[in-house]
Amino acid sequence: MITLRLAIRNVFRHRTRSVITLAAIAFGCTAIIFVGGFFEDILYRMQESYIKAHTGHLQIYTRGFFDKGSARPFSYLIDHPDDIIALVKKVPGVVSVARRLQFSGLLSTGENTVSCFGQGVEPDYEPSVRLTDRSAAGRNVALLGGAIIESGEPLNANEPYHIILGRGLAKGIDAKPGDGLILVSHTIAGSINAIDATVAGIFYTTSKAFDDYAVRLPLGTTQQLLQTESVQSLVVMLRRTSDTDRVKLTLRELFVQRHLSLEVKAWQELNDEYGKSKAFLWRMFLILKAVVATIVILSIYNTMNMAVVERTSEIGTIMALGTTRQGVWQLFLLEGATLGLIGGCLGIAIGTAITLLIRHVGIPMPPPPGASMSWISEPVIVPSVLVFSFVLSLITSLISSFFPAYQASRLSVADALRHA
Amino acid sequence: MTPLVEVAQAAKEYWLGKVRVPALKGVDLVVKRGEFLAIAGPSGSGKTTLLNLIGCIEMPTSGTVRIDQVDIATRSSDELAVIRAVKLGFIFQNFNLLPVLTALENVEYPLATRDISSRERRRHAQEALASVGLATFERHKPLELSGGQRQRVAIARAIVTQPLIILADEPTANLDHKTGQDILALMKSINQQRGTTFIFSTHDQKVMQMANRIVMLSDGQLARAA
Repeated sequence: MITLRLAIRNVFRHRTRSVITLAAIAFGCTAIIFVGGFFEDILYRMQESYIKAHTGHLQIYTRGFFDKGSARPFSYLIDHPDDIIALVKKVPGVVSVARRLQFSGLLSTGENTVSCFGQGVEPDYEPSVRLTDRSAAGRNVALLGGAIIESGEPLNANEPYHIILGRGLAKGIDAKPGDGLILVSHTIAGSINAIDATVAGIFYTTSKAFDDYAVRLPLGTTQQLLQTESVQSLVVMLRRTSDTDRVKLTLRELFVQRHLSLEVKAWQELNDEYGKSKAFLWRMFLILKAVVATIVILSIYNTMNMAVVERTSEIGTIMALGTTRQGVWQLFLLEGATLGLIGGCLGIAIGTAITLLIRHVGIPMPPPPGASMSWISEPVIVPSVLVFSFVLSLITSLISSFFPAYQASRLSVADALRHA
Repeated sequence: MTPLVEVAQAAKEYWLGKVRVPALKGVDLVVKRGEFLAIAGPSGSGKTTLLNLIGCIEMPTSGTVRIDQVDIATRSSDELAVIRAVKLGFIFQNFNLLPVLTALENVEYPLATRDISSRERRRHAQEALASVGLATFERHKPLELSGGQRQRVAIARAIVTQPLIILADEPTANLDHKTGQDILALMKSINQQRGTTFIFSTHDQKVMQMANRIVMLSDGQLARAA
């Protein structure tokens, strides 16, 4: 007990030095808490916007489509989707199941004709969000829904020949809401078919590449164009993204039990970009952690080393009074741990306060690579990062105290007592 | 009666770079229980080195040092720490109190490794502090005490473990004459009342006069015993 008291009081013996050391630890923790929360927010937004705009949480295909469907998309159609939809909807956590049918085609204004990527969707299950709805969503418009309608109106199930164009595609053919277009494509039998359509609105998503080629239209109209009643995929939306793996597993088991030749892909598998971005950001975070750990180690090492030099005579005294070498070693480790403990607590408090403040203010961010949407970052508090920063400050404190503590314990008692 | 301290042909050499400096040159000394012994001599005569050998703080280069029949050269560093904690008490010229602890905590510190309750430790420390006349200074930090008071705290710290021997290296050197006399009188009374053996170094003639026996050192050798 008296050793603990001695350690704690020694820490605050040179207040300025201790405050600087604690500030270094707290700064390191704050950096980790803030950057961790910032990266988490980036990944969360990337994940949610991609899920809502493109992939849903899960997609169900006829087995083989995922690997070979790009070459022969109409060879892997789902012929009776309603039975499967009814089955999937019974799984806890599933909110909606939407049918999709995709195709390549040509879009013509009469003067201009460009290739496009068509996506037949069910507007009731894959709604778009008007940019004018921003007030309802605050600055989180990207999180509200999938495609954001920049001008005009979203798709309407009651307007079968109304289509919406990606921003880049609309710009390419100089189309605007209200314009009439001709959409041409192959039917699944291989003949040519076309429909007259009206541009209802212009949309954009988080992916510029998608917006440069995409046209969305009601599923029924797409089936009419392709002359089929089948669909290519079923897009499953869940209540919580964290349920993805569980529902995927359940669906797989269900399909095996019912002998259905279907495959399920999760949003992570459908979005290679997310996985790479996550790996990239966490690697950067790892480097930051290493830098912070180094700063903390050097800072505490310096403090502890100076303490050993300054208190050499005292070390000699306590050893003369019967303290063993191990006792001296423990005393200095205890002082290091005290610094780490207090610094870690301060770091958590300051880091949390600063992160919440920045979250309140928001950080305007440019569009990420390959995207066209600016956004406001709102860093979050990640509990696991809080725990990590605290443990890191404690462990680095012990590591950096280890050598000075060892040096102190190896001092010759007589030499230490002679030290002025 | 078995001697408490037996120093036989003890020599101690130091190396200053490549230069060998002999501090003690074959000293013989026997100290019995209850003695109040002064080791006298000019600066550099080897007084502190001899006290360090008896205090298990340094090992002799040659010869033997036995404390309560234990040859210190045969003991490990941790075993010597235990001998220091149990059998020896120390009083230093510069008091060597731990500045961040109060007077009471300083006195309590040597009991930290003892297997007794914190309440017992506190009681022993309070008794020791009271016995040196500082019962009302328990909560004072060393910097809030005078030189004489600090040395009294150091004496309380030395006696709290009830050691066999208390070693004092120039205990009055940093005190004025009157305070030095008081400190020596206190040491003497502890010696007489508790039977604790005192071995202290000094080069002050008046201090030497308080001792039962004086050992004179000169140039690392025993000059004479009075």
